[in-house]
Parts: sequence; structure tokens; C-alpha cells
Amino acid sequence: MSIDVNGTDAPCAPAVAPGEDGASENAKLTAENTGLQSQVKKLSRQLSALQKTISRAESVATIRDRLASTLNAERSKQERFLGMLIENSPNIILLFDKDGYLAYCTNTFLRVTGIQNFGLVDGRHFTEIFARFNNPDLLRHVAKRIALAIKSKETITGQETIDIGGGLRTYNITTTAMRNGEGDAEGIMSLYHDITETSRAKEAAEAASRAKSEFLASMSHEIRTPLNVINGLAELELRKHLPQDTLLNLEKIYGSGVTLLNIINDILDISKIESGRFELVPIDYEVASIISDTVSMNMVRIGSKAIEFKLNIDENLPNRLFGDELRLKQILNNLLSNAIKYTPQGVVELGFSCVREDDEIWLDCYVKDSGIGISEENIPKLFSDYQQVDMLNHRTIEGTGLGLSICKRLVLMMDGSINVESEYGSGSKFSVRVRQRVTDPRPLGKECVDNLKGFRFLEGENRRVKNIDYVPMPYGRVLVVDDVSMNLDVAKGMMMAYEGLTIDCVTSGMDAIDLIRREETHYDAVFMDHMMPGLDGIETVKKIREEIGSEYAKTVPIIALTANAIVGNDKLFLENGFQAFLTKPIDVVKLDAALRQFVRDKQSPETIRQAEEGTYGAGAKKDRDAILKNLLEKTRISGVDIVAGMKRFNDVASVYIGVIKSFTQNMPKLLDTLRNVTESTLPEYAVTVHGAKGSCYGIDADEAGRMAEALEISAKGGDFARVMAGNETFIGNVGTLLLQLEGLVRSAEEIGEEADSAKNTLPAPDRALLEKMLDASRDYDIDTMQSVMDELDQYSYESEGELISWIKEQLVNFGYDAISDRLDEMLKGR
Amino acid sequence: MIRMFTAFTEEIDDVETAVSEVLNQLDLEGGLMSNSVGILHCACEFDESDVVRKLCERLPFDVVGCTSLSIQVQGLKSQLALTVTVLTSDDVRFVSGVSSPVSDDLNGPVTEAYGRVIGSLQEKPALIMPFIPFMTNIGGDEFIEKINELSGRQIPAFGTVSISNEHDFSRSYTIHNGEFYPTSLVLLGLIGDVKPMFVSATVPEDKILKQKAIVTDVSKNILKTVNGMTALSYLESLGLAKDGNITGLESMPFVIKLSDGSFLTRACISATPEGALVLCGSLPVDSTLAVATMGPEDVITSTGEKIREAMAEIRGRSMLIYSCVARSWMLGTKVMAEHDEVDKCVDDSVAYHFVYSGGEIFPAFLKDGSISNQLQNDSVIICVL
Repeated sequence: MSIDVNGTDAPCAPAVAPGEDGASENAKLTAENTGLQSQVKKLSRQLSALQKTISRAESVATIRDRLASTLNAERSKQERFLGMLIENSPNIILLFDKDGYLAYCTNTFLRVTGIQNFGLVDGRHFTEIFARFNNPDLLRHVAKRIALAIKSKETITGQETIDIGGGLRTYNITTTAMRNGEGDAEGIMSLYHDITETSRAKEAAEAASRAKSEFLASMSHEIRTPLNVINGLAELELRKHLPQDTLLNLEKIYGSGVTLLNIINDILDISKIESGRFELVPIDYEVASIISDTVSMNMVRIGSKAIEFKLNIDENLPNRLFGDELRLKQILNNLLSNAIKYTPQGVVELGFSCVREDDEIWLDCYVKDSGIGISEENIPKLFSDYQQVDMLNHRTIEGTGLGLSICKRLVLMMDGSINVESEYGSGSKFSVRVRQRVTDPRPLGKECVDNLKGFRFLEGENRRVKNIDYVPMPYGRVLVVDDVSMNLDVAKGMMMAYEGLTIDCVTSGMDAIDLIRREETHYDAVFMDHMMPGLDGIETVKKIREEIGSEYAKTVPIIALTANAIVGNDKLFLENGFQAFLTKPIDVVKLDAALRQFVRDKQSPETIRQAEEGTYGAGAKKDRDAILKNLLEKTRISGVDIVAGMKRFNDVASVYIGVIKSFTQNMPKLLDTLRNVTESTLPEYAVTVHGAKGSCYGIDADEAGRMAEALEISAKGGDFARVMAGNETFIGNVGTLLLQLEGLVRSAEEIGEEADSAKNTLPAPDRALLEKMLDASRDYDIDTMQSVMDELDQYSYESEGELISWIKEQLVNFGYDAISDRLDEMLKGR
Repeated sequence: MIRMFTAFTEEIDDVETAVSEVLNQLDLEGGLMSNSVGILHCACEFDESDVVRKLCERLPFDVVGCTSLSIQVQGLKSQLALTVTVLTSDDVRFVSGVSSPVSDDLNGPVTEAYGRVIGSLQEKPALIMPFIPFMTNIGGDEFIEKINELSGRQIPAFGTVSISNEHDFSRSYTIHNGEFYPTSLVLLGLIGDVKPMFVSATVPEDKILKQKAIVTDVSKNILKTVNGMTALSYLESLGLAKDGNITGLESMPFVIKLSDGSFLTRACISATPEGALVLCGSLPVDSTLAVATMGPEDVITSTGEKIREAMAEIRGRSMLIYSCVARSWMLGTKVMAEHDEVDKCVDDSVAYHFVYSGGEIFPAFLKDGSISNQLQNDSVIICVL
């Protein structure tokens, strides 16, 4: 401040001077006064300015003091709480200066490490502090983290399982530099967060999850395997020419088998969904088929209930859609089965319509019933797991309680919605809307809808199966590997439709490896079961691909057969040397596709043409039977009139030898039964010895036949003593006879093999001859059957050679019906 | 080029003496070039006499300016002074004008004045110097934003807001050709070969308190709520107010961080009965508010730094320096300390004036080539002409 003070005294009132000089004196005084007043005014202003300045300064000082006080209080509070935070922190916190000397640590560190006092470690270097734990690795890691934290601007994290005094514990360790405003590191903070319990819980959870997955895989396999047999055999039966009602029943058996599979799958599915390993598998499907299947699967549930079923279908629904047919069927099946389940009598309605959106539709389905309905408070529980609402009143109603929960999840996965309207006591309506892509936009049309309404679409599955073109594959040879014989039967049965296809079967991975290593036969494809005891499918394939070494072993197509419907199968198999996989129950359409891809499509067009025209292969002919006849004429067996026996079979040596072979195979069992006779089992003994009698006479072993006859009479007469007297002798004689006959059979077989190898080889028995054999067997025309047999026996065959031997045997044993059945089944698929 | 010379008087009552003092210091006979203008700053006490009017009648050029607190030219400084800074040039023209009084809506008066003074020019000014009236219902930034809009963000502005030493900042005037205007905008335009250089300093970041709050309700320059509570309550929680009394708060800058990361500084003038705070400029809702605290050393250091920075580029030119009045309050009892620092840093050969301001206006040059003139408080700004 500038204050202009000239040392002037305070102003005073002008004095009046007497006389002539009074005026000028007055003027002078007035001027002085004015000046003084002016000065006063100036001073007054300056004082005022000074006062304002002081006032402002005071208020500024006051506010700063107040601020300082507030900030101090806050800082104290913060420091106090920070102190408490650090003291009470359950974590180990270490604060080092930038050179690594300890500045602070929490009490937890002292407690865990057993250090009695902070002073013992205060100011010590971290190397010295951590050296006490005798863990060089830990010290190295700590040093590395501190160095990294200082160097980088990032927080360094890590995990260690260490013992720093509290036993072995797992810590999440976070190390970070503490930087000032300029970004320079002034210290390091290390935080050790004990996650031991969390780690253990996590390991336990992971183990439980693994166990669950293994259980799922195991259960999936164990349950699906027998269901594969049920569904597979039913499907095979569906191919036969059967009466319509039988076919309908078989359709229902098959459908119910699938339904059972689906119910089991409910439980497996919910587990998969919950574990996040569930995926939709969209395919191209017929809309009419899904409607028909849903209806036919559930009509049986109506049973004797007085329920009227209505089906409402929009004729404009597209013919084919692309979506997860199986899961959609699952949803519809669940809703419809529930509706029938919960409707004692009345009406159940199933409806389908759609709203088109470019190349997709919103498929709207509803199931409406006049059943028991659902109370309002129970509706929210409907889609919960394992909940059946109103359980007290409906204990008799079966179900896992999972269906609607799965339905909802499936619908949501299909980008759809599911809603329910219900009134307790009056009924319910479940509406589902899902998005599906249109692959064939042609509308179903009135006729199809009318057929569906009249349940005339039940042949859908059968027709689907029948619509497969089972092309002959006489050039093909496949190997099926499965430890379950029934599965082999199913697979082989399915493949037999491909005329001429050679199907070899083995029951273990080792056998398969052996066959492929020996390379006696080059298979076009190998169908390998996934889960087998000992060496499973994957391990078997690995050995085939990696250990055998041949080009054939490395490249032979191997298709996995798996009952495990686990997500990721495709990747699993393709990464382990398989070319494809089929799930069990084997779908005929997919099997057909696999056979076409790996067997048929590898052949030249000419080969395929010849096979399909039946002119594949050719061969020369050699007279095997003459050689056998020569053998028999030279053979002498006591008790057997070989000449008479041959005459019985029109001098066809091979037939007679076949009968002898059958005698040697069946008689030992009869003898075992006869050997254990007691007085109480005499009636049964009589029956058995009667059979033995017939067999002996059948090969012209008359002496043994007569002995058997005498024993039969004794047994029928209840003469146990007589039976016992003659039984041992009979058994001994027949035993000796068997030895000789077995030798004869062995010699005949050796001759047969030589002859076979000298024979011309055809890929497979001639179809026309087999058809002639079939017709003859139906008419019991033995002469024609024998004549055809002779023709067939002139060749050896690359496939179905066993069939010829079998027919020959059946002829000997009068198994004409068996011949008819087998040939009918074999030839029917064409 | 522009030549600058200054005059100084503390005579308020004796008009003739005051006028003579000023005229004697100005070399009007030989010192003036083709074009001239005077920038007059004075203490509000000069409204008690006719000095300003009489002086302006005697000066042969337009006079623009405003009231202030302590003022300094060429080593002469006083809280009760009047200074005249004459700008004269052969190749720079000067135009000036004053708007009609502004009440609630500045758009009409400012637009009219701008159009009359600047808009009518064929050549765009190289610099605008606005002298903005101190008003509690309209923040100075509103005037600046209007000027930005009217200038198409193409003309830099450097200026000040009128202020006084009254406790309620009454008797703050803009001045144009001898008349005091409480609510009118005065504009000065410089047309020609002018390449001004600008230097500024505001609140250092390390002086901002770490307590941060969110502006939750505001109406232009009236800060209503912070963190959902009344602004006054918030200040009381910080200890910056007590029982509704915010005396001294004007010395503590309010630093507002905007969503784009830039900062505004605002001084607080008063509190309303409803607990709202009247600031010198507007701020947006949802911005982050913090209070800063600067002491005498902070003020002196920053002023010294900026003057030295300007001096490095002076090259025979002159300086106009405005420092926020709040900075004078931060000095506490050392009311002339900043003046002394100016004395120390400015060479005797350099013409300058140092004036306390009710709001500092200076340009920001943006990457897209536009110019965003802004109003800040608690700052020191320098224009080298």
C-alpha cells in the first residue's frame, strides 16, 4: 500500500484575522483547510483501503486455518483408519523402500512367520527377511517380482505354495511399485493373499466336475449300449415284409425305445446343460415326420383314458426345415406327454403354425389340454429343475420333473420362447416359438395335413429306412470291432443289406490290430467301437496308425462307433486317427452314407456298374465233391456203413460229410446228458437217448443206433437198472466212433480247402441262385434245393462263403425254414 | 509495430492536478504515431470525482478500460491509482466501442456492439481486447463465449473483467471515453500488423486438494449442489464455510475438471440464502470439482516465471499484464508482493502495465486451427504486443 503522508498535522478550523490583512489571511487559511481536507480525504481513503486489505487478509487467514484444521482432522482420521486397516488386515502386506528395505508390515506377517516384533525386521533387506524361510526358489521369485515391479508400470502377480511358518499355504502374491507424482518408484508393496482354502475348494470342485464328466460318459455308454440293441434290432425288423399291424407295433416299439432313450437323455442333458457342454445339432428334417413322430410316440399314453386328441396343422407349414429335430421332438414330446399325463379325461390338442421371415420361420407350436391345470402360485416353479408341482395330489404321475426345465433351456438355445397359460382345474396351454431355417419352402398341403390328422404318417420311419437304396457292394470288405457280440450282430445285420459286402467281425482292439498288421485282407473300412475293455477304440487306432508302419495301416478308413453322445466327439475322433464317427444306436441313413463314402465311392464306375448289374467277378470250376467221394470210399469206420450213408444223400459226398460233421458237433452234448442219468431223470433220459438214436441212424451208424433204441425202451419202461447196465457201454462206443468220425471230417476239410483254393472265386454267391434256393425252401422242394446247392458249391466266394456252408448244413439237418428265413431277410432289402 | 507508454496518478480529488500529471507523463506532442488508443485502469474511488472524464476529454484518442485494485506501471504502484497505457502505431489501427447496458440477456447488446465495432470492419482484427463488466447474474465467460461465436472463433481475445475493492465488488465499472459503465461491455480491436504473444499461468496441480466432488446441480454461474448436497454444505464439510459464512473463500480457487480432461478455474463471489454459490463463471453439471489453496509463494513464483518467460520473447516490445484479484488476497498481508516481483522481473526499458483483474481473458489455440478464448480466474496473463 502507498500512503502519502507528509507529516501534516490534523486540520483545524480557519481563524479570522482582524483588519485589512484578514481577508488574505482567511483565504490562506481556507486554502490550507481545503488542502488539509483533501489530505484527510486521501488518508481516509487510504485507511479504508488498508482496512479492507486487513479484513480480507484476516478472513483469508481464518479460512485457511479452518481448512488446515479440517484437513488435519481428516488426515488424522485417515491415518488412524489406515493404521487400523493395516493392523487388522488378514493379508500379509509388506512395504519396502525402493532399495528393498522393509518399511512396514502387517501384524499378520509377524504372526504367520512367528516374528515376535516388527523391530526385528524393520529396515532389513528383503533378501535377509526371506532368507529365514530356507526357500531359495521363493527368494528368487520375490526378487524377480520386486525388480519387475520397479521396472515396469504394471502390477506383478503370481501364486506360490510355500511354508513361511504357518504350514504349507497357497498365496496369491501381488507386487506393485508405489510411485510418486513424477512416476518414480519410491517403494514396493507386496500383498500375500492366502487362497489355500479357496484352492482346495477349487480342486475339489474340479475333481467333482471331472468325476461328473466321467460318470456322464460312463452312464451314457452303459445305458445307450443296450438301448442301441433294442432300437437297432427293432429297426432291422422294420425292414422285413411283415403284416401291417406288426409293423405298426414295431414302429411303436422303436418309437418307445427312442422315447426311453430320450427320457434317459433328459437326465444326462440337464447335467450337460448345467455344465455348459451342450450344443444344438441342427439337421435338415421333414416337418410332417416330426409331427407324426410326436403324435405316434404319445398316442399310446392315452391308453384307456377318455381323451379326444385334436391335431391342428397349418397347411402352409414348409415341407422341410433346418434345426435340431431331435431336441424339438424332445420339447414337443415332453409337452404332449405332460398334457396327456395331467388330463384324466377331456381334450388334448396339438397345434403347429408358422410366421415366415425371409428364409426362416418362427415355428409356433402349442399343446392345450382340459386337464387339471396349474395354480397361479405354481406357475413360476414350472420350469425349475426336479420340480413337479402339486406333488402331494399327483404322486402317481411319473416323471423326473426335468422335462419342462430342459424344454425351456432348449427353447432359449433355439432363440425362442415358451409360455404357459393355465387355470387350475380347467386346463393349460403351453406355447413354444422357435426360429428354424427353411430348406424346402413347399407347403405341406391339405393332403399331407389330412394324412397326419388321420395318423397315416406312421410309416415315416419305416419308409425312411425303406427309401435307402441298398446298393450291392460285392467288392467291399469291412471289419467291425466291438466287444459286445450283440452289437456286432446289429451292425452286421444292418450291413448285410448291401449284397455281397464282406463283413468280418472281431471283439477286441488287439484282434483288429492283428488283422490289419497281417494284411491278409485289405479292408475298405473299419468300424471301431469306442469303448472296449482293455484297449479302447482310440488306443487301438493309435496303435494301428503309429505302430504297424504300413501304408495300409496309416490310411485305412476307421469309423468310430460310439454310444457316448458327448459334445466334442467329432473333434475327439478326428484328432485321434478316425475319419468319421457314428453314434449308437446306429442310424441306417448314416451307415449308408458311411459305406457309400468309404466303400462304394472308392471303386471305379465300371466296378460299381458291374456290382449293381450282378456281373461282378467270374471264376472256373473244380470238382471238389469227387475228391471227397474218393476219400469216403477209401475210409473204413467200424460201426458205420459209409456206402449206405452216401447213398442216402444221393452220393453227394460233401453233404454226407456235412452230416457227419454235424453228428460230431452235436453228439458230445447228448452223451454228457446221458452220462448223468438218475432214476428220477429217466423220462428226460428217454428223450435224449431217442435223439441220439436218430442221429446214429442218420449217419448209418446202425449198431450205435440199435443200442440207443434199447436204452430208450428201457428208460421208457422205467427200468433204471437196465439203463445203467447199458449206458456206459453205449457212451463208450459212441465216443470211439466220434474219434474216428472227427478224423474223417478233418481229412475232408483239408481236401475241401485245397479244392476251394483251386476253385474259381466269385465275389459272392449268385443272386439268382439264392433266389431259386429261397423259392425252393419255401416250397420244401428238396431236389431243387440240392441242385442249386451243387451249383453254388462249385465256386469259392470272397464274401458269403459261410452262407453256402451254412445252407449246406441246414439242408443236412432239414432246416428248410431257417434257410427260407435267412435268405428272405438277406434278399428282401434289394 | 506498436509503441506503448504509460502514465500514473494517485490524485483523485483535484481534477486539474490529476489530469496535468497524466498529460505531463504522456509525450502526446512527439510520441504519438498515426493511430493511438488509451487503456485506462483506476481504483473505483475515482468514481467520486471527474478525473476520468476530464482526462479523457483532453486525450486525443479513444480511451477504454475498467476499474481495478492496485495497479502498476513502470515501477509506480498503488491501490488508489489511475494509469493510462497508450498504444500508438503507424501500421495498426485501433477501434473501440461500448455496448448498451446488459441486464439478464447479453445477446442483444453484445451482438450489437460487436457488429458496430468489429463486425463492420473490412479487415478482421488481429486482436480483440474486451473489458467485461463484473456482474453476479452473468458470468464473464458468457460474454467471452458470445464473442467467440461472433468472431467465428478466429480472433484471439485478451482482456479483463472489471473489479473493485468493495467487499461486495460493487463499484466495478468498465470505462469508455470517460464514462463509467456498470453493466456494459467495452471492446477494443487492433487491426493491422499485430503478432501478439500470450503467456499465462493458473493454479498449479499440486495445489489442488485431493478431495473431489461432483457438480450435481448448476445454473450457469450459480453452483447449487455438489455431491447431492448444497454447495454451501459441501464447503462446510471441508471447513471452508461456517454457519453460512464464506468470508475468505474468494482466495481459494475452485478447479473444475471437464469431461475432456481440461480444467476451468473459478473464483467464488458470494453465497445465496439457499446455500448456492455465485461464481465468476459458469461450469457444467457432472464435472469434477476440487478446491485449491495457494499461498504468497505460489503467487509470486508463478508470476515471476511467466514474466521471465515473456521477457525472453520481448524483443523491444511491450507487455500488458493482468493478474486475478484473488491472487492479491492469497498474498495475505503482503498485498504488494506480486507487484514487487513484477518490478524485479521486468526490465526498466520495457513498457508495461500490471493490473488486477476480476477475470482473465486469453486465447487457446486449438489443433483444428480455431481459437477458443476463455475466461479463467486465479490466473496471471500476459500479452506481449
